Amino acid sequence: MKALLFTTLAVLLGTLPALADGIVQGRVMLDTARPPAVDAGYKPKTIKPIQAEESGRAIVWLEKSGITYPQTRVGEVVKIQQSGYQFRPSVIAVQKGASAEFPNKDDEFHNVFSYSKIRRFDLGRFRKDESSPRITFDKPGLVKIYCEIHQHMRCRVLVLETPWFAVTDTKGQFKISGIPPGEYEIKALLPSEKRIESKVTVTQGKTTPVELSR
Amino acid sequence: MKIILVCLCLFTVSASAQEFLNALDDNLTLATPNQTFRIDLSGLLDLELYAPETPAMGLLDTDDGLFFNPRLTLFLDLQATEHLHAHAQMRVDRGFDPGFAQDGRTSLDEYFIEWKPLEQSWINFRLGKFATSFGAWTERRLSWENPFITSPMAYNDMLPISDDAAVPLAGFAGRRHLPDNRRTWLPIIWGPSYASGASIFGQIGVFDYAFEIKNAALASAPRSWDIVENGWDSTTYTGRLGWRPSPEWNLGSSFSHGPYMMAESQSSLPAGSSFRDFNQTTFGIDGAWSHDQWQIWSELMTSRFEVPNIGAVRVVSGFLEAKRKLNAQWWLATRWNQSWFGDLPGTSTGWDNDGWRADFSLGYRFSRHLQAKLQYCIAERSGQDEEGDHLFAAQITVKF
Repeated sequence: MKALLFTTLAVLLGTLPALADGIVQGRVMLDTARPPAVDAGYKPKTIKPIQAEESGRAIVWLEKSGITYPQTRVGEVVKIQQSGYQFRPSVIAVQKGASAEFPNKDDEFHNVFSYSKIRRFDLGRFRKDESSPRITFDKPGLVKIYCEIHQHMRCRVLVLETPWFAVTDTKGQFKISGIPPGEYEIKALLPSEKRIESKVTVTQGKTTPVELSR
Repeated sequence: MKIILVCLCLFTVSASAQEFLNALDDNLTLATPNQTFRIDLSGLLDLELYAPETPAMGLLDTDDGLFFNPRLTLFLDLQATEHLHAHAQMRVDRGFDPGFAQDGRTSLDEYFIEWKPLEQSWINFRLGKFATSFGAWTERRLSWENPFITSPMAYNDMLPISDDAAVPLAGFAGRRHLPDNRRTWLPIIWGPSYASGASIFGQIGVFDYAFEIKNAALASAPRSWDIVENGWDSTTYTGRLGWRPSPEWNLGSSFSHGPYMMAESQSSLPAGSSFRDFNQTTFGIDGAWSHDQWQIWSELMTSRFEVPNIGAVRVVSGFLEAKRKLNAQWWLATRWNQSWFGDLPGTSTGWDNDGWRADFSLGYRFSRHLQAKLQYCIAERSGQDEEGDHLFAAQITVKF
């Protein structure tokens, strides 16, 4: 009985800081990315039809100078599939130190690569369900990822120092929780890759509404 | 001019230039919101430097120890719904093959419209001027995709066969030793063979096919390709059947048959014969394998030329090409090319000298918009020949 009480207490104490932290919730006015390099449908060089690209999404994150960010998301491993000749998801945010795997779900080869200065790699050609090499992102910045075989495929991974980030839905809505109270810069990377930023004050245990637009 | 081009090239390495090229790339595509209509302009700027042992081997027409060849290629793609597509490819250069127009020229290499009647890719129709479906090399003919600067021997080694006039038997056997004639010679396939005509092609499961009717043979020179300039003097039939049993493998077999002599040759032909009587018939097989950081391609073809005053002569040519990526940006490639020549009809004398060529290439991609290549070739023929045996080449490509 004592053990159960201690366990319950420990869980409650553990969650208290999170409950006490603030939430930022709001909406980003999305712009449009450049048109996809090809439209959806059957193509002469694909066995199956190319699926439509994902609708545009933004990445929103909070930054604060002079603090050491908690390393709460460095262990994350995101899976970026190649499916229907598109990257799924195609807009991803990770904390510096996190990793990505690139499983191929198509019946044909893909050749995932990036020439972005902060993380250059080329995974070579591998087939469906072959294990994909794991790529670790150890520098902050934007990594632009493509497929050498299907040049229309594109993916953006934003590597951030901060653990407080979210990818919006297709309407631009987002919610970031677990933020310690204080003054922050809130930034967004739009589908066009343009950036916008503003300031936000996070209050303990409360939700702060934010609207971001250019 | 050369200094400006080199400076331009160095500038493109910079980060700001990369951003500019990204933005340029983005802004050269326009599409309606529902993607029903689309216009896409893109291009390649190639700066090439050749250092051949002269006279240069293959389709390089220069006697200079150093030959600079800039080339701007522009591509225009128009898409109207999923079913209609038009494409044009324009080039400004010093000849379709370097040196053939030393003072520069502008040409339309490709222009065609495509119709895809079904949702699936089972059947498509193409009309215009476009690359041949024979073999598999044409898919990587552009500088950005080609691991090398030059094409394989079968596509650029000049054979002592001409299409503009008949040659007497006595002059034919020793032609290899008269390199001054090279400008009128033909390879088995002249590069991508952008002749004019119509094509039907498609893909059904793991099989793909293409069948085309064109106005020039595989060996015909670029001057014969354009239907607007040259009309339709003779008909060549070409086709390829492909099979992809797995993602690693891409196999195919091709054929082509049609007259290769030009109408201008008529006055030099034996009495009673027409320039349409002299056919080039070619069969080929191609195979490609790729996995991880390796890509391997090979082709083997045999071509039979019906030569005025001579009879039929045969050549067999093939190559094996391998590319290995060393990391995200560096690659190495090597290619072994070989050609064997049959005998002159009724003799045991070969109509040309057997030969081989080895190509080595080192490439580096700075970004999605800039790459550089270095290539060295060494070639050898049995017996005596006048062509140089060595070629160094460098190429820088800007893609937008």
